[in-house]
Amino acid sequence: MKINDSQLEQLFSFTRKHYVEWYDLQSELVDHLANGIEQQWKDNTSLNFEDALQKEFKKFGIFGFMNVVEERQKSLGKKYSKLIWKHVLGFFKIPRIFMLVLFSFLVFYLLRLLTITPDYFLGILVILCFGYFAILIVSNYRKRKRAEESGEKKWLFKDMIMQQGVGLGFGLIPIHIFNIIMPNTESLATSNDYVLGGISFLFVLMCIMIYVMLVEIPKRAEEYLQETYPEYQLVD
Amino acid sequence: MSNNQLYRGSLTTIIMRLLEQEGKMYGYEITQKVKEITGGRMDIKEGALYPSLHKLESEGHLKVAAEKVENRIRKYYSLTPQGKKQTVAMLAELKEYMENMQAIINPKLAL
Repeated sequence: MKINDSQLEQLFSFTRKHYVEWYDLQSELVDHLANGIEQQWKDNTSLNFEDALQKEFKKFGIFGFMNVVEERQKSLGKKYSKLIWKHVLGFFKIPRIFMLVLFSFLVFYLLRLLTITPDYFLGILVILCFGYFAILIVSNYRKRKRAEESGEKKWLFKDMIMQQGVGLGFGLIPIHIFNIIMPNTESLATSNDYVLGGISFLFVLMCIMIYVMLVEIPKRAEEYLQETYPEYQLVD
Repeated sequence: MSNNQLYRGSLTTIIMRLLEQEGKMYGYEITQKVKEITGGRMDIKEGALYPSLHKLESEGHLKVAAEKVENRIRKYYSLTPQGKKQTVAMLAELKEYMENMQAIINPKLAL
């Protein structure tokens, strides 16, 4: 006896009910459960679908699919971080490195010219970050709603790329560095050139990181998804 | 897998050794193969198998291919060149470990 299409659909909704929201994981688990159930039917043809499914699910242990989901998130998170670094490092090569240097100098001179205090500078940074965060939340909410309405399949890596989930905290790390290196002076313009240079460089680097996460990687999302998911093209 | 600390640490080695022999395999096939080879004495826990497979994949030891089989998609895992090298190293390590254990448990035999 073989699993039919409607039973297959039941298996997909079973995984969804057990907190597996992404199609890439669902399809692998569904294939596993289906194989297990078919094997049970070979030994006992009168066994009903529901009982066979429960028996198969028990083999995943008391945490069910949780470990599977967690490990997948962890390993794809690492992959995403590596991807960000790869793109950021691209700014350290010719010709883009000229841009990095140029912008660092620009920020440097701007900070020199303006008599803003470190407090203001930090304030502006925080506002920028929160602004970015707010825009992200709104746009993600809209996208998610659209995807839900159209019944589109969810892919874990796609969600990461589009939501910058893991990358968000990661991208904001430089903020803490500003806090540490920020000199305790009245105005940034009067502080040491090296310190100011360091601040300018880190600021530009942080902007690049955000740019990579928000623009560059999402633009090449399709390419990265096909590379991550060989099944991506098999699914309509 | 039987509820034994000894086996838990070997899951990665088991997966990679099987893939080395069989070429490509899917998750369920791996659990069945282990059962078959050990005469049902060893049972891989599904809740541990997939996390290991996904971890090995992200580390670059395994690659994945997808095929449509009947009405569903099946993911096949196989070793990458890096994974093949790693398997050789892991097996050598395991062999050494087994020899040392043998020497400790049964000194006369080891001589």
